Amino acid sequence: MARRILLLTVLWLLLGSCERTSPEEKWITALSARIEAGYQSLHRNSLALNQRVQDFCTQNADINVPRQQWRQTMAAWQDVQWVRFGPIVEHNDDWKIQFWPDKKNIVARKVNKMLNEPQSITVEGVANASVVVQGLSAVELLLFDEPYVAQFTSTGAQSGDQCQLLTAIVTTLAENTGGIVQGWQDAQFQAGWLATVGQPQDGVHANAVSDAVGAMLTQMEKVKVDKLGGPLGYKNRNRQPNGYFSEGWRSDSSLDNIKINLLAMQGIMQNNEAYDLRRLLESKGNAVIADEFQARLNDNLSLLATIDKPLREAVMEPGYRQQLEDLYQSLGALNNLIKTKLTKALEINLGFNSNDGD
Amino acid sequence: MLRRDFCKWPLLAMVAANGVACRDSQPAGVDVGFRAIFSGCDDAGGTHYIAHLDRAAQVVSRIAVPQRVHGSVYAPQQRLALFFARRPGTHLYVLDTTSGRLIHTVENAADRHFYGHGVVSADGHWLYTTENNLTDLSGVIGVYSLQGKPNKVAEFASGGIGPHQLALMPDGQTLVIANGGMATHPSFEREVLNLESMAPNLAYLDLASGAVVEYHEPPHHKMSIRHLDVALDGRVVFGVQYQGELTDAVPLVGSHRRGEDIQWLELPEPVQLSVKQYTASVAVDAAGETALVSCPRGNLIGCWDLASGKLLQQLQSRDAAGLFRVGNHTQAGNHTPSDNQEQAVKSTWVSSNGVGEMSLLQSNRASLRSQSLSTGGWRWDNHLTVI
Repeated sequence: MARRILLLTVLWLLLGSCERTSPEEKWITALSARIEAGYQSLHRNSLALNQRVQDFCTQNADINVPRQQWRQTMAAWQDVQWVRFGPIVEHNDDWKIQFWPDKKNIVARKVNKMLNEPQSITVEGVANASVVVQGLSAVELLLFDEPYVAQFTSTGAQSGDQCQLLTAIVTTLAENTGGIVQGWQDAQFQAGWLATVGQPQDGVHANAVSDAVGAMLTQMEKVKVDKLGGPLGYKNRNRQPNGYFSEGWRSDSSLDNIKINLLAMQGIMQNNEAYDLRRLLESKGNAVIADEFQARLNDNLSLLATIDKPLREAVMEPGYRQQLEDLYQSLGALNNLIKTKLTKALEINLGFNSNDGD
Repeated sequence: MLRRDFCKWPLLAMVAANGVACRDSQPAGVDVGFRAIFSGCDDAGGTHYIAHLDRAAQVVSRIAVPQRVHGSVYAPQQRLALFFARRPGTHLYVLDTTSGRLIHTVENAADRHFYGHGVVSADGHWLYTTENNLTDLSGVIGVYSLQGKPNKVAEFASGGIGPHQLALMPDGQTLVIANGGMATHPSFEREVLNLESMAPNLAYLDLASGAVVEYHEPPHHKMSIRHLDVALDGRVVFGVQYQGELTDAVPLVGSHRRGEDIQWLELPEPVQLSVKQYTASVAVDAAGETALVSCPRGNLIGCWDLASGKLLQQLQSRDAAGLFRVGNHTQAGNHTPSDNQEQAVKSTWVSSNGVGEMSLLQSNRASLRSQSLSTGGWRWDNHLTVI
């Protein structure tokens, strides 16, 4: 009897120790599931876009139908756009989903080149072509840019080269997004990524928590510097605003995109249905950082809500200048919080030579 | 933190521990072809060090220093390793490699700072460094006597703003200088103050007269030429850090011979996008046939064939940083004689990265291979020197 009790005690201790999952591991496990769900949504929407484009091209359906589905697909992408680690970056798949910034209008140039070479307009031709023509930016050009839309209507039939190219692009997009889902679900990747949680968060060892927080910071810097600073003219020699430097100027989706980017950050910090970043911070006695992060996020969302014109137009109107500059500053405050307090609270070092700049 | 959960997933720990796959481990007793490595590094806590490693790439001495260093150079006559502070640092650290002691810390003038690189003259008496003149933000080449504590005796204009790496040409009379073109001032930390009016160039400076005798500008003003290396035949290979958009298609690696135009090396779109317009170290083989360029933002080292300009291969290396040619051999089979000519080693380099690895890279006719020399907790800084 005593031996049995001893054996049971040992088993209980062993099992108990195996069940003690660290807060970091709980967060990364939940975050991985969140990313997978996001990728699946992107893939589902890409398949739906493929279908809506087929309807448009074969049944002369209203162009607003594929346009609406394009918006939903872009929204799904904006939700996971921050994930710049893992399989999606290994083959430049992120660039295949969306090519931007595009100050030199390369998307239009490459699309026109393909349209001028009708023999190249096949799914295989698009898949083997530059990443520039494979994704949502090229689809936006064809569905929203006036001369291309006019071309659809002027020919009467929507079965011309433009439709053939559009179909090939959305087919490639659906395939690419399917590959991204598979890449994320890959057991070897998942096991390896999760296992890095056990390594020191010192910037020397691979670490999933560092990957995630580093990607959050990179994304929010992109929102500030490229998505807002670009059209505000902060990246130009003359510092003149230019609405065409906004992310979704053809579809006027720029502000929607920024909003989804911010909401994605909010979802990472607080998710009542899963172990979130707030709980990880609470486990380290740093709930105050979570509170501050959400306060900064809310500041940004409130400022964004005051801009009631498409970004392409708002940056050109002096009346909106102060609001946009306030938003720019507010994004900077959020990013500074990630860079300093959040990384410190999580004991993370981000990059060394890669962030060096020399 | 000690993990307790590996009992759940024993395989996961193995995967994590392996990190980058496809590496050979160093065979015992292999002739690596060098006797020492010098590099700056940080520890996990962010303390800066200068380090001396032996032929097994193990740390022999490591000395904490107040300023983060960037590059280094070896002065063979005096057996000194000289480490240069990263901008806007003002220190030059002098390590006596015989005693392993830091024997001098040279503080630059109040209106100067180092850019992290220097080179020793052919006769071993002089040191040339890239510096910023803070009074007008012009580029300066500092000339130091290496008799005793390094002492500045002269300055030359570098031929541009923001001179970064420089090298001595095989004639021993000329410096080649990567003028990055970016104006910075310590008051604005590391912010680029002239992004839209940058004028980077590759300049050749005659040491006898101190005059720039030839220079070449890249096709785009935001193509900041930063790092370079010189083959024995005078071919210069250089790396660019492009300050424009990530999506712009611009070349990032170039090759040049005196009197000719720059030749830009192939950069396929997927590589362009993955390296994020950023190159770090450049190391060309002695014969001027093959060039390696580290790309920390793409976690890779690219290998180019200089005759064709083609990118031959990419090696994975997380946070890839230092690269340095081993020896000045130009014949095949110098390091690992082999009956199989296809397998004979043509060129050898040492590489480092920010995640603690030192590796030996060897090319043969077929490919470039990596052998791990050592791993540890040090974040090796951008550049290393191998003797």
